[in-house]
Amino acid sequence: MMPKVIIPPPYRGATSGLDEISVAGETIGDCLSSAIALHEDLRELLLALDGTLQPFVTVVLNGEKLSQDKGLNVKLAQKDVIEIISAIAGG
Amino acid sequence: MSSDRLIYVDMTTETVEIRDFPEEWLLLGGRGLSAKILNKECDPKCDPLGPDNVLVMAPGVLGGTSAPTSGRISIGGKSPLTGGIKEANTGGNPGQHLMKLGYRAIIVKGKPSDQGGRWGLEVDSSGASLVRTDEYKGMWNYALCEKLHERYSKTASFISCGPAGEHQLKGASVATTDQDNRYPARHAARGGLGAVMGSKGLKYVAIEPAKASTRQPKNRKEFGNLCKGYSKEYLGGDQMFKFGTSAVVPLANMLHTFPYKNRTSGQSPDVETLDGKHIVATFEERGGGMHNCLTGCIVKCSNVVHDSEGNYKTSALEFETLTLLGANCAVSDWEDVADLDRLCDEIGLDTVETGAAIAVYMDADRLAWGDASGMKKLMQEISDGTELGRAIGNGAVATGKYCGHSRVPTAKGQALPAWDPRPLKATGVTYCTSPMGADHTAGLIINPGLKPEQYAWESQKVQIVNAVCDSSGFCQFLQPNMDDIRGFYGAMIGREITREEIADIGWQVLEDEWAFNDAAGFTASDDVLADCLTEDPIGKEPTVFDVPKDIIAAAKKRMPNQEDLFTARAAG
Repeated sequence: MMPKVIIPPPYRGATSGLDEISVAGETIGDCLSSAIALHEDLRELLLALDGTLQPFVTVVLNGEKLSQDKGLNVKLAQKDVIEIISAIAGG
Repeated sequence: MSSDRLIYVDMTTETVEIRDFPEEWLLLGGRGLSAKILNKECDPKCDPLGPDNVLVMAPGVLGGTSAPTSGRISIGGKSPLTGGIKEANTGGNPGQHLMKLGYRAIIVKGKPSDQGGRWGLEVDSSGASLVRTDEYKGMWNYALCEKLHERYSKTASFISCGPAGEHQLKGASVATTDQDNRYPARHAARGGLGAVMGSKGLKYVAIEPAKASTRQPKNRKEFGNLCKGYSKEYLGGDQMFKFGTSAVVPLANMLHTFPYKNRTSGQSPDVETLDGKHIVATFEERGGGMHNCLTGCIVKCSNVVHDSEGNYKTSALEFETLTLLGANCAVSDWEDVADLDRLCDEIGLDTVETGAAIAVYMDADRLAWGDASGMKKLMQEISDGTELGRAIGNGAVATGKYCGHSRVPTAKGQALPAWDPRPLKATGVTYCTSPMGADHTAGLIINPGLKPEQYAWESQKVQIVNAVCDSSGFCQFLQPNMDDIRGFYGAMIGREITREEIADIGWQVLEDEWAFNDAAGFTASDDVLADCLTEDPIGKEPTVFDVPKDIIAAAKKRMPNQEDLFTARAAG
């Protein structure tokens, strides 16, 4: 079993409609890199040019929101679920 | 609740009548109530600027209660822009105040014989009355509100139209004052209802709540628990709008829905300088900040923007405005967009329609792209009612005709908002089928990964959810779902509201609105988008809006209720 990454609706154009993908990785950063390897269009949606998370992206690990400064080095267990939340809507 | 009332205003006879609120309309408010009233009282074939049009101002079902962020108000009528039914929803405090006073709607009919006259409607706990106020004729909204606060108390809230409405221009908005009751920075903007207000000679509505108390539900304990629980969950969650919608700019650009130069591209080279993060960055040095536009709001998505001297400049500088008056006109500096936003609020204009109209004007080579100074001069022309000003103020279609320019991105005569239907095809289905025309608040779906067979349901689902939300008084940015709303309704009236009932309420709103439009002469052939959207591709893998007619039509045929209808959050 591999960690799962839940893709928010605005990002599903980059994953050809997939709403979740299972990827290998020991850390959140590894998993997001694996997701990007599968779907390159996720790169700019997830990561800034310096490799940090985009400011409009929040990562939720097993239901708990991670603060931006925790970085991408949080270690994962095999059954972990990473949910990407992106702040987008509105008028 | 049985003591609720309706305020009927006849501008032909200059009379006001207070009537009882029909018991059978108990679960109607906002958009749903407006649609019901318009079907009952307004001839769909009437001249939108004539005496037979009806202007409705209706708070939501939960307005005036302690439910969080529940005081939105719907302004309704026949739109002079689309020729169909229109509901424009806004914040500010008038909705809360009206409901606390027990008024479920203001219904304005007729038209004064003296077209040069101006009136105000005064509403308080003792009733409502019209006053002649010619001295306010032509006033810009901020100056008007300053004068009104000299006339009325500091706790009064106001609904007004600016010179654009008085000139009866189809891009005119209806303004409401914000939570502080000072600034007319909230606008029921889409569809030209400010022109309807102006055509009736009604310059403002003043609502004096005095010591009117919060409305109490039948089941206070349950209602209170729902309020606490919802607020706790919302404030402990993502709070998507804590920096306002202007923060959406970079992601929208990545998704190719940050239109540039009259939608000839979905991305703007000015994305960095139009990013809302710059607005947030000014707060520390200049003052201003995030605030809530209405009492009881927990979302606080509205920004208060100060200039470089630290003085108030404008409020609610939103993503749509940064797009339509910014990127779409190739304006690169967000500070210029802030100035233009203030001018729209003053003159009483929809920033979306006005930005789209100016972009058409620029595309016709009548003004250089990015000429913010020239845009400000156009605003003055609109205020002055010049021939050019009238063309721009009448919106994108009128501007296209004035310039002989055919590239006009609209649906049912209304300019498209920022969310582009070419990468967001399900949203395009909403624009085609919504009774409102090109209105993202009718049902926004930001999911470019959907398959064509999903478009009809996704659009229908969110149109039903948003219809219920806009009838409830809840702000779409609170993002309630149907289960949330029916829970509050149930505690409000003292009995359970089933899933079937709440879904039926939402569907009925759409049916009432489609019925009005059908009677106004709309047919399925009107459920289309402008040619430039079906012919001019944009995006990384360039795409047009190419959804087949049968899928579009399917969005208007009721599908069986699915689980996600009740769990999907309002999206606009």
